[in-house]
Amino acid sequence: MSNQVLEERFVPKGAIAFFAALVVFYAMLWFTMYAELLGRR
Amino acid sequence: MNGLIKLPVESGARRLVLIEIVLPVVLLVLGIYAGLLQVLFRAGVIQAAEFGGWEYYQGLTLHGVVNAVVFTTFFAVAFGNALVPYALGMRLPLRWAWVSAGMMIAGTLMAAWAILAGKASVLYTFYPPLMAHPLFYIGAALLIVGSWIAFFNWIPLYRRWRREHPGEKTPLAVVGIFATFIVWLIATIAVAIEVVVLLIPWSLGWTQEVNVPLARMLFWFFGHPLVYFWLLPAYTMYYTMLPRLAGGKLYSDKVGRLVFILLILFSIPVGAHHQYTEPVISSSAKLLHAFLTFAVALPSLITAFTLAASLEYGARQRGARGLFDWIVKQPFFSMDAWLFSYLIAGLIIFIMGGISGIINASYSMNVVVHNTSWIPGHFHLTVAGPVLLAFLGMSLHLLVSYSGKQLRLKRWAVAVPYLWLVGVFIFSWGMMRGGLHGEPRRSNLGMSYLNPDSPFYHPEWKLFVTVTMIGGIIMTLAMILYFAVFFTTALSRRSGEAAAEFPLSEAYHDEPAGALANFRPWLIAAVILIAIAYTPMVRDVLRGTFNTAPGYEPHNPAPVQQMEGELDTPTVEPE
Amino acid sequence: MDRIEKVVMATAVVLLLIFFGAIVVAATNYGVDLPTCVTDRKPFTEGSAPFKLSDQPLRYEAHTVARMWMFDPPEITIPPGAELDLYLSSADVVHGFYVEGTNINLMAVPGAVTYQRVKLDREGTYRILCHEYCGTAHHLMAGTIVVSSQAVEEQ
Repeated sequence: MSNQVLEERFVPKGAIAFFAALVVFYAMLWFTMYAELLGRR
Repeated sequence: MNGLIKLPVESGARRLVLIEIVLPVVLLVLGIYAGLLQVLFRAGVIQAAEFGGWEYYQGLTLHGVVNAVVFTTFFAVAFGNALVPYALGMRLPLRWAWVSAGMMIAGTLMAAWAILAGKASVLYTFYPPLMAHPLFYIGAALLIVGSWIAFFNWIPLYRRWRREHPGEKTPLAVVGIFATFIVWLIATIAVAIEVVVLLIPWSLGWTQEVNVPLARMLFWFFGHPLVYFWLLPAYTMYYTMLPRLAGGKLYSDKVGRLVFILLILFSIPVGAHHQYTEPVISSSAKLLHAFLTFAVALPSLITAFTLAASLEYGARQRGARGLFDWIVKQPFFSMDAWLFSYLIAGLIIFIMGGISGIINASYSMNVVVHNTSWIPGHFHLTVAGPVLLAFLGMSLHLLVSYSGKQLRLKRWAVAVPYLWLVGVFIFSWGMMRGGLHGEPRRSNLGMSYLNPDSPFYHPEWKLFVTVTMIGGIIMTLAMILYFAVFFTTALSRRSGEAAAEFPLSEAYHDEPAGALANFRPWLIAAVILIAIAYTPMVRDVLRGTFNTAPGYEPHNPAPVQQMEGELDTPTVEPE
Repeated sequence: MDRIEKVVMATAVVLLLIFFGAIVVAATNYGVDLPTCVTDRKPFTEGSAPFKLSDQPLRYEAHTVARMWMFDPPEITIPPGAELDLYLSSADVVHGFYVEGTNINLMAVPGAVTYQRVKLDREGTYRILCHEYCGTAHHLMAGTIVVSSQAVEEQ
């Protein structure tokens, strides 16, 4: 694959997947803590 | 790395930057040793008030001041002194640069003396009315003002560059360094007021009492942007150098600029999120600061994507396929681009540092973690993660290029960040889990909760403090390797010309900067935001504080004045 | 900035707004909030054990003074399910007041009074820790909250 071709059609699919995974992971951890907070009432 | 632009550096600038790099790394040896002692005390391995002549809280003060304030400030100044002239293609004016270095060194020595003499065991947050020796505060003030002067010294360079390059975009590296120091300047004004107006006269005995809620508000006005002062040089490396080191391009230049501007806007008006559980500040001010803290998380989330895309771009060129192959195809162990290992290991740590920070900032959720060992568990994933590793890597890079030497013990150099990563993850797991089980931070646990002979003995925490200790020992080993690399390199023979060189990246999307081209409108916006966020807090503090407080030395429950016999004319504290 | 980046940014904003919304819900629907600011109480230097304010609902008030290096009173006894108006003041430096395993996490700051309404349903003994560095013997500063139905009549 030449650089030229890549330059034209680089779509960061991997980075999108990574970001989506990151958001899900963050939400999971945050709501775990949220449950802890409400559980301590 | 090959193919980098080298710019010759005159010997004065060379010496300046090398001093500003080597001195803090030497001090860091003490700071790391103090860190190791912390985990041993806390795990109950050392069950005493002191070890080797250092009291626990004295060592903790040293650990915080050296690692988090002295090392970071010196590094940021040295990095700017090297990178700003390089990116602008200009020479660093030396006179004021030396004045700045001289003040910072003098200040550091004063504060270090006060701490080592046991006269300033007030921790790096120095909350009044605990009182330290005046030289501790004067030293801190000199360090801060010295760093301002370094910044002021770059501004005429930048203005001249703008005049000589009309219509060109400011180099992103310069935007990064200026963002760092704009945040620093605004933030440190508050702590300078706290130190110079409130604490120095009070510690000298010229004033008797101090307004504690006011001092705390001023401290935290500074305390959170301090975190971004640490992070911004690392972000500068991530945006301007990481893509090149990974064989890729920065996915978007404009996003880089946007991130730096957002950090200028939002990193300051958020101080109350360190004061959620305090009196005086109204809930509405706390909630406003919580909201703005979420805003400051935004640039970091965007950064996660942009950097991933930049790394992916490089990996695709090396034939990475599928959705996650690019993650594996990075030059993790490249001997040529060894700086990459420091940056990427820091970023991996920051994934956990980021979410734990959002949790801390989440208003009422803060009560689950506030002042438990969760908090240092969290910030070792930020300041002792991306920040430390980026600073260590760049310190080595500056040492090598500014001294014209070859990096020695390269394999060890590449191993350091990964060993640190393993250590800090273990350490922080112990700290954070312990925190959720009630383990307090800043406490000599070996004297009480982790001592079977103590009425406070709390065996449930044994697991967490032991894991923390194992992590801390691994971190110490990583730093021993680092010091070996650093000092072996520093003491080796010169083998080439000293020159400035930085692996600056190209951008894949290199759009015009547009509205982000100038700092000025954003500075005004930042000041307005600060005014909005802090007006209610200032009002609360002025209205809600009933009385000021006399000073206390950490080892004595009687106030300082009383001990001195209620003199009418206060005298300088006797030595 | 391309479309992907805009979507990423919008996603991040939505994530953070969800978090913020959840916090507001915790305060409005579940009563989980930060200690509020009280300006009608002067800092005090003597603590007092819980005293009853009313029977229906069962409400108490207590005053705790934090000082180097103890809590006054060192022990607070309340019946389970009672609402306790807790006022906290410092007699010297900054201290912490953290009740292990609960959402009671306060700072005692010289110059003002910290207030929180506290309710503990489970009987037992809870540890109070000072969790802000307050000098040489900071790690020895602790107290207890005893939640016991037997203790009611003594008060």
